[in-house]
Amino acid sequence: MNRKLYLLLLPLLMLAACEDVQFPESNMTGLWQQVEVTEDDVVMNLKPEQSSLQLLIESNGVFRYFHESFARYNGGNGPTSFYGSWNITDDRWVNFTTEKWQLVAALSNDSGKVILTRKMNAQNISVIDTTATVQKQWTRYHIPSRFTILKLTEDEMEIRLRTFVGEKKYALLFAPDPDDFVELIVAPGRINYAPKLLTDNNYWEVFNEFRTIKTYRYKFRKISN
Amino acid sequence: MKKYVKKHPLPTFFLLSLLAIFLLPACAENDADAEAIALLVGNWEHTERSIDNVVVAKDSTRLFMHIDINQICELHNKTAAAANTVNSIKRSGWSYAAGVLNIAVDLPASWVTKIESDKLSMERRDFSKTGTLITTVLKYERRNAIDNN
Repeated sequence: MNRKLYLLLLPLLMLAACEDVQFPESNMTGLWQQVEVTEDDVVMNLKPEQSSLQLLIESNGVFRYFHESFARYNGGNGPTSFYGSWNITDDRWVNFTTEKWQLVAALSNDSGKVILTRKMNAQNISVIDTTATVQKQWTRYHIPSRFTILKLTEDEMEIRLRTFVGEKKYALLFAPDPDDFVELIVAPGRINYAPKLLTDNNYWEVFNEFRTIKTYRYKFRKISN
Repeated sequence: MKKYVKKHPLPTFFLLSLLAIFLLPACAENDADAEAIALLVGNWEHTERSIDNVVVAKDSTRLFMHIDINQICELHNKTAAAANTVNSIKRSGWSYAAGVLNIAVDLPASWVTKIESDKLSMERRDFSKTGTLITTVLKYERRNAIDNN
């Protein structure tokens, strides 16, 4: 009797298992143009370099994105194309891996001031070595950010991320404000951008940004498949 | 169980049909990939390259391509300068799923492929410096062996 019952219940179980997918991965693939970004429901004023953001999402789990936040680097030949991986989990979240930076700037034990690396300039005057200092103040890593999918149709996508302000601001999520980053003077082919130099004037402001949580919504419109 | 099947052939048939409806589409996709992978394996000679539908010079870094069943491929640079040097062959891993070919050295870009028995077309898209998309198509023809001369 039990066996028969199982057999009769099988179709019901199978139908339950095959519940409609609300956000199919096939809708993700294609070329997307960023339309709007909000911070705690307030539309952010994006710089032109940020507004140019496009995502090219491909079915092999890789996505590439274009923005001009670092385009002026390297004499106007800075990087404009970046990449990461993506996937949808539980028909609810989309994970994008991007570059992020962790704040590791050290303060002097005795004075509590930000430690800066200095160098002698052409006039033999001691100046801040921005590249050397910034490389000690920030650690770069590539890590996923989990967005909640709010809308995903064939031509519209809206995703939400709740995170620390600093985690979003000093990251390629997706096009950062050019004023929050600096060009690094490094060998050709090396990563030549990093978050801005921290000094006594802005350290605590940035420190607090990594302790303030906000909600960001990104809206995209599909340009092509 | 046997008794049940004999006694109730219709419900059994109904259940089996339901199983088939759910399982067969997944199998069909796997079959298509397996068929494409079987066709991909072999030696390919680069015959044409086009960028945004304009034919340009061939890609000298992959004038011949050997795709092995063990997920390893070789890209042969057969230009005169590179021939017979250690730099003339670049080895890479590869994978294929749902019409997309990933060659490790080309990632993050992937290739959308069209494969026939003796012709292979690979298409990739990249951002230009101004944000427009550039489409590159490489065409290959199957060869029995790689010409090492």
